[in-house]
Amino acid sequence: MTEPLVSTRGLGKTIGRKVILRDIALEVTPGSIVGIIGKNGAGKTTLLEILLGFSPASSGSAQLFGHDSFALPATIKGRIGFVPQQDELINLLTGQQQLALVAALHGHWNAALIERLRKTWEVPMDRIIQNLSGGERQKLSTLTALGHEPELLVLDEPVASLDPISRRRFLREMIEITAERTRTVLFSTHIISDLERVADQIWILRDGAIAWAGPLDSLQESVVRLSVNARRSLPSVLPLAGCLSQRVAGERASAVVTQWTGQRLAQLQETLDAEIAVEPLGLEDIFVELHS
Amino acid sequence: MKGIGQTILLLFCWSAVTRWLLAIGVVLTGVGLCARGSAWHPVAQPIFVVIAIFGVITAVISPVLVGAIVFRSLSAPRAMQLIRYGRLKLFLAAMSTQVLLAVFIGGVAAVTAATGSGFAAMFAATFALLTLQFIGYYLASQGRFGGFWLLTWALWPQLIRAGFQYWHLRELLASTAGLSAIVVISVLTWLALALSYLTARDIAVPHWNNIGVGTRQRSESTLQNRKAQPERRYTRREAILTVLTGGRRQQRVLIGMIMALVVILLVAVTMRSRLPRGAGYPLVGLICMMAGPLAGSVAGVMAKCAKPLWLQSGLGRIELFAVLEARSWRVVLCTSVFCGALAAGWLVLSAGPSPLPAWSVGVLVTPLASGAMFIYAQLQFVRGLRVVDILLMALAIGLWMIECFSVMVGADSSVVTALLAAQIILVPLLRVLALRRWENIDWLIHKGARNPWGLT
Repeated sequence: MTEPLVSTRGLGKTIGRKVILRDIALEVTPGSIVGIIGKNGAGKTTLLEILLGFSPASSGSAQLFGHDSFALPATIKGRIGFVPQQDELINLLTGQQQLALVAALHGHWNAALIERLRKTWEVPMDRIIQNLSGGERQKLSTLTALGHEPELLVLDEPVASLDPISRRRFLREMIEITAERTRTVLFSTHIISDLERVADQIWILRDGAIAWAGPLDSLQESVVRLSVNARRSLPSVLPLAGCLSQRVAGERASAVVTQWTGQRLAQLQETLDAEIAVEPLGLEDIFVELHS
Repeated sequence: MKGIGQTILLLFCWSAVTRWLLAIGVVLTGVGLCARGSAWHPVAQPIFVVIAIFGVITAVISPVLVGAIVFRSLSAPRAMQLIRYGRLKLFLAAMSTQVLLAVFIGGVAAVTAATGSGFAAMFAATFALLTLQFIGYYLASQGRFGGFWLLTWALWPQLIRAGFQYWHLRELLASTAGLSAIVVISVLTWLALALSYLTARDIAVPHWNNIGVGTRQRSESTLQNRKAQPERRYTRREAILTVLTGGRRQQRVLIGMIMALVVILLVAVTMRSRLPRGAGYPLVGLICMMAGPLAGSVAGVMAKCAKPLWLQSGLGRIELFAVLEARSWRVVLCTSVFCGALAAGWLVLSAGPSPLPAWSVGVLVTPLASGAMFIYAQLQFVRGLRVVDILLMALAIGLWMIECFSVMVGADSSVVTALLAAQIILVPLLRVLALRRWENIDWLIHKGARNPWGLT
């Protein structure tokens, strides 16, 4: 069995009296693309920063490449690329200088790869960073995280400031990078369509806890909308296990349930004496239902 | 009215730290004044005056030093022009803030002054000086070297002293006509500012913005004219220092220091015949007193830039601390040498009488001692706003301010030496604390700033 690249056990984070994360237990295997979604303030950035060792966990543990995140050795840090939500570029330098600076810090630097990406993403290199637009800064920030060819790429909302074309190019590149080199990507986003396009694993954070973690396909298979059409009046509350929401009006009802399996259908039809139509939900609908 | 009130509040305390400073300052002033009015032993009375003065300085330091920059930052966004009477409200708030400051400072000065000067005289003088400071700094901050305005502070004590001695300022402040003239001139200055401010098409964000308030956008012309730096390569060490210092800051700081040295020594040469002998000692003393904390606070700004190095450079927390420490010491040592050169140059060029021993000790040792203390006071301040950390910072500031006061009033050299000893003892203690905090630094709490140097 492949050793997990990232693993957490009972991870919690409290700042002051505010509980930001609680009981997070996750694993990431090499080569996967993991997308993290959650509402603003759900704890996505905190989780990523703890995984990268910027912040100590209040409880539980977080490990990267088998090492405690908070005390990562330099050799392990060299295998990680990170693009923070708010870039850490130096305003007075040009893009070229910024890349030269990061290259000097890392030692190993694939200049050819960066040159190719720079051209594809149309990042101006001769202008000082202060004069770049938000999207250009974000692309440059991503370049600084790719040059040393990290095995693990962590991106905190990497496409938030990009236009749709740049976003597509960026995501395509991300898929290619992981396909070629069996790299692992961990990224948070609010753009669910991007997540559906590239992620093979998904973590949904709700109020600091994991509401769902697993393959995207199984999430979409297990959360469904049921349209119930009964022969007699339905009870005001349907007896549904894993029910996220339901609306009952006489003989008709609609409900969204999790952990759905085909075997449950026949049993439910018999219990409610009803015809039941099962409709799969898109990721965006699932996200909304999980937060309703 | 609500908008004006909120803006006044913002100009007084634009951040959590300034709120604390204001609260501590007001409380100290109240304590000092109440204790002075009580039946305590006469020997204790000067201490209460010092407490009150310390309180006033703590309370007003932020609005006086930063108010103009905050005002410009609030005025710059184009959205302000869409708000009905937006600029007028901002202007009224700015003027009201200076009036309130003048009432506060003038009131306390009138109560504590030994000469028995009335409130009206104190208010008029303070309001005039605050007007000059605010409008001068507001205008200067649109330029890249706006910070040099603060250097003019070095001339103010001399001008005021000369004013009292040669230009009959005392008589002017004692007469109703003179007071009225000062107030009228101040108000007219504000009206002139109002005229240009309210009719201005665009107001640029402060180009000199050492506190990072307001928007980050720059005027179009500035964007176009800014030249790119030539391509260069870095060694690993250079790269680490560039991340910490935000580019070629050190070069600029060095140029700034040399320019300041030249300006001040020129002042010494040109004004020595017009000023009383030895009048420059307070000026040079003030510069040397301010140098330590300024140099030491560089550590705090570098600490804000250190976060990316954790991953990119592979350095551990303690290694990062060591890099910051070494760099900060270098800045403090350079500053101390600068101060020594300044004091020596002044002594030679101004040909004044021998300074008091307290002055000599203060000028020679304070930049180094207070600079070292502030390095670690800043480096230990990485856990957010915790009471213990704030108290430690307040202790460092308090020690430094009392020492400044002692040097400037020419206190006994043993007092100055004792205060310096206290600072030197505090250095290793603060270092131990700082080191312990850096072992577990949490960058979610001590967030890195996007552009902490701000001076762009």
